[in-house]
Amino acid sequence: MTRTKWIGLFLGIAGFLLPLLLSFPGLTTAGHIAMGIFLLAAVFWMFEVIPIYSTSLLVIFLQVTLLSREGFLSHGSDYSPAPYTDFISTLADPIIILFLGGFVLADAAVKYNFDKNMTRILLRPFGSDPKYIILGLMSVTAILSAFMSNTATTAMMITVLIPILARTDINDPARIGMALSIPFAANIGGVATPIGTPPNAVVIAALNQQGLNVEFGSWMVYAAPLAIIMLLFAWYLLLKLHPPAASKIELDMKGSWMKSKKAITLYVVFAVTVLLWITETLHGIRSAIVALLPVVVLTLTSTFEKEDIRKLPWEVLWLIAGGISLGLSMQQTGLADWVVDGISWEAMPYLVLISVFALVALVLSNFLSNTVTASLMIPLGISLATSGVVGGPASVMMIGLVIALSTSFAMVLPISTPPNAIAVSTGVVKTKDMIVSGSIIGITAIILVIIMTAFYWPFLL
Amino acid sequence: MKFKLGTQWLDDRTAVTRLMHRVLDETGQANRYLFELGADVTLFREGEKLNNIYILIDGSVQLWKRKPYNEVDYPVIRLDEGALIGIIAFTTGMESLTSAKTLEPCRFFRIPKEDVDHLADLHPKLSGYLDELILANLLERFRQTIILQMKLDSANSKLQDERNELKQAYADLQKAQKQLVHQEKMATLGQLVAGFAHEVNNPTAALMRSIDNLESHLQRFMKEAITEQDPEWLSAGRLFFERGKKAGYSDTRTIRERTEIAAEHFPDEKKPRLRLIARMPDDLIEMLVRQSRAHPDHLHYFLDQFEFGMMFQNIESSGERISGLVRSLKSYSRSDSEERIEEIDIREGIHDTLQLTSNRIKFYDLYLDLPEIPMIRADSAGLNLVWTNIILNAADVMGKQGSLDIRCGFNSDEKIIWVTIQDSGPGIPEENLTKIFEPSFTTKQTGVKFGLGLGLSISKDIVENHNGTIIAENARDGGARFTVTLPV
Amino acid sequence: MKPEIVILVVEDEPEVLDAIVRDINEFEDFFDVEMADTAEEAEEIINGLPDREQQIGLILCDHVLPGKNGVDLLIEMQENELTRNTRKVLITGQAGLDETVKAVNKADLKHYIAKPWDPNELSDITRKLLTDYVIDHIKNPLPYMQILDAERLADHMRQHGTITDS
Repeated sequence: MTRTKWIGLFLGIAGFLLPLLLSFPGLTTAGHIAMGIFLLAAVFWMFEVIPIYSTSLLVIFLQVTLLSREGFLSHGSDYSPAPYTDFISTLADPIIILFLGGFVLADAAVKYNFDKNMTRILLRPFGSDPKYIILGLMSVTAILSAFMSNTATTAMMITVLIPILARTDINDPARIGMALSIPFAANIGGVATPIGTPPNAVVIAALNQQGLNVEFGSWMVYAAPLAIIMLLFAWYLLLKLHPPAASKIELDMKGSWMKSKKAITLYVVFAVTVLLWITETLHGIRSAIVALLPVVVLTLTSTFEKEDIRKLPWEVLWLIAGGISLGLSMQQTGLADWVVDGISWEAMPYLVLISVFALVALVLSNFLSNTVTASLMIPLGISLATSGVVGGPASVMMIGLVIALSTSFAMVLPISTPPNAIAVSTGVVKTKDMIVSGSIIGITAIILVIIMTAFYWPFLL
Repeated sequence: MKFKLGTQWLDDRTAVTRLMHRVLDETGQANRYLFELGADVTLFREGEKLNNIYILIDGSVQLWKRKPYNEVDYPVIRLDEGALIGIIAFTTGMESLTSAKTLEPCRFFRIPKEDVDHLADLHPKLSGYLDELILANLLERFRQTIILQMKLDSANSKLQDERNELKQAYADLQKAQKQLVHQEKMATLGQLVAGFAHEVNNPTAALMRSIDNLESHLQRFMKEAITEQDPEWLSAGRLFFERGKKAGYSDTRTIRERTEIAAEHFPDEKKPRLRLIARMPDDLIEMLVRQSRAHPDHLHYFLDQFEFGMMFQNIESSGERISGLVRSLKSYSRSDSEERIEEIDIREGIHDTLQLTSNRIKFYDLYLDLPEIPMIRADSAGLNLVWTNIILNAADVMGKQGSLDIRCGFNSDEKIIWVTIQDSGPGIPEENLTKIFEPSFTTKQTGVKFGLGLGLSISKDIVENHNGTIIAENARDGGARFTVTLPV
Repeated sequence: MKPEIVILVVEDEPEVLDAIVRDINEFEDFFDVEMADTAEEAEEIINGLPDREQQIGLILCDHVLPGKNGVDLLIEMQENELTRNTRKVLITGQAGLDETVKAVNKADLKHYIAKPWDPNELSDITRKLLTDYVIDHIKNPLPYMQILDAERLADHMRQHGTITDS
């Protein structure tokens, strides 16, 4: 263990014990425990004392043992403990099932080279002008990362990018532009759909708990326009900062569609599932239910086999579940409300409040995992909205969108997101380049989010 | 046994036939048995059953035997008056072994088989005569056989002698051919080497001259490129260059240990540079520490100078190695001299051989004791082959590890010089000590490993052509020892 | 901090050893290059691995060495838990067919480089084999993307989900 980890371990345990030793007026005993769990989780997540998914499981474990009806502690009359199944069932929350469907679909796509072949086809119309090649790379990355994991999409696009880089002059700034365009587009594309990136899941689950059902298609209506604008902006920015010197770059992607029965099954299932998700508003079948379609069809046709199931990123699901669960106990024990009540939010105007949330989310998630940031912020945001401080039921939705979108636009540092880390590790991009364009994109995104809060979302809700 | 006619019939069988003739005439049976034939008439053929016995009274008959492999008849024996024809077949009852043919008009008594037993009835003396005649004939045949046997014997031994002579001639021829091939090989090699040496020497010379020039150019360039013109700094750099040229190679363990020490002095430097520092002697490292403390940015300059020096030294020594090898190869094969026999110092040949076989013996402990010895007139290329064969043989049996002990000396009493080459291998089995110089002897499982050698047999020939000797023996402490002596 | 992966170069002639190490210079920022001039020395380095928390990813080994030869060293490494996964390369001027076949069969020899070698070939082989090694045995391949075959490493991440969203 490194020194940082030791410090983290000490601080985490201190954070856990602190609320138990002190007594905050107006907060239930259970609220004190929930605060301890929150502080422990926050510190462990920040310092990565243990793997972040492991912290998530620790959260669920502590809640089950300390805060559930079946736990070891008996609680006073001020708190009626929830059954332990409430906490455990976060592991099979509808949003987790939606993600599971997404994972299966994405991994099967990789297995049958669907992702790479789609890239080949989609890149074709962009010609050989470096400017448009960058736009092509970004569009394809964004589209794929809206349905697949940002990281997997980035890894795949890097395999496409490297032969292109090899054909580009070593001093051509376009190399940096192209290498940056991919992680940025992957991060941006992730916001477009509920399954695009895990923070979306944490937020949507929290909204669900408030009785707000977020349809797949409607999320896209809220978020996709922002993604498209940001994608074009990022493209423009990268061209300005790193103008291509070459006038022509040959794209020479080779490959062919797999034509086995299983591969064709995958193509069909992929298309049908995505179609059903997008059109949820028309047919009303919940996206989590649709998500079972790829899981069931692909496994029963042996398109997706036991070995493939083992390879799924289960730890991401656990990470999300921990985030959902953490919010659950903060709401139930009244901790979230207590925190909200403790601060005089009324002094701040509505938009300033939203801006603070967006900015905090952006800054935090540049250093922490996006999912962790969302998990830590969403309970407060929801409480704030439900307590009526920021007014109206629509505000719950909006605060959720602000948190989810802001966390995803954090792409300043290599450690901000895994796609950034991959791009920097190729050695083409210097951290300095990433900081410059990543900061500009982040700040622009926050401004756009605030504008949308004021002028776009209110008209849809 | 008692014979009616004493023993005179042994010498004169015709007397017996005459007596028989007379007796038969007396009994009036002569015409019944008398039988005449012209010349060149076949009496009977080989393989026939004979029903008569023929007693030759006048003329002569030739017996023929057919050779089974070419179906040609050859004469066996010529029978004259008094001979019994068909006697073998008659006495054994078997088919006739020969054919009988008259050579001139002949007269016989032809006595049917069944009558032979009854001859006594005709005349009491007749059967006795016949017995005597049979015996006389058999004796004659026996005598002939002995003479024949003796003839055969002498013919055989003559043949054997001739065969041995041929064998020797063949062996001599083979040896001569081997030597011719070897000489031809050496001559070809000599030509090849001469060409090769010429081709290699030119670029090597160019390389060496360029490196000299490059060195002075580099120094001048450095002087001009460094604008600060700090003379102390420049001379320090020059020093590092010179020391780099003298830096030797140490083993990897030392390098590793010294790299760690260097890392203590220069904790910020990366490993390749630390390894370079590790190659410096201690006083130079101290100087480097001092210099870099004063001017941290000078460190790389000094390191570069040191490495330049090492590279120059590396190129120079590699170039020298190449020309050294070429020189050895040239003198090994004497490619630059027309005369084969000349005044030579054999120690040079031994050194050349060691250099050219260095690939095989580089891991051996080498003990050389080669004091000054008189020059001799000899075929240097041939002798080099002798050393090569002995050394490579030793390398074959020792494998990767071992030692070679090579000495030479001069015996002023006997006016000979001697060379011993001893290895630390398992030695030569007692029973092979003399055999190893035979042309066909080998203990190698697969062909010859060194393309020049024809083994120890050619070595022996070469040494003997110099009127010298070569012997193999086992040293007391194990290992084979070859001793070559050559007259001065 | 010391690099996690060691490249071991075994060669008895110092000039040649120097030249090999110089030709793989570009890898030294990411890998620890260790040199040994005998098989015995190499064994010592191998035995020191557990203490150093390092692993040998690649060995470039000469065949003819004083004492134990290169092929025997490679076979021994194949039988050693610590170095079984090490990618093994023979750099030699004169290993016969027999020895080479032995190395391929018994030591899982990955490549054979004939002396004199082409520096580019040596560098390419080093890159390829280290990429193989990182893919098979290193959890986080990101630090090696810059120096090794980034395309293959990225494709490996894509197919095996080595890194996930967080």
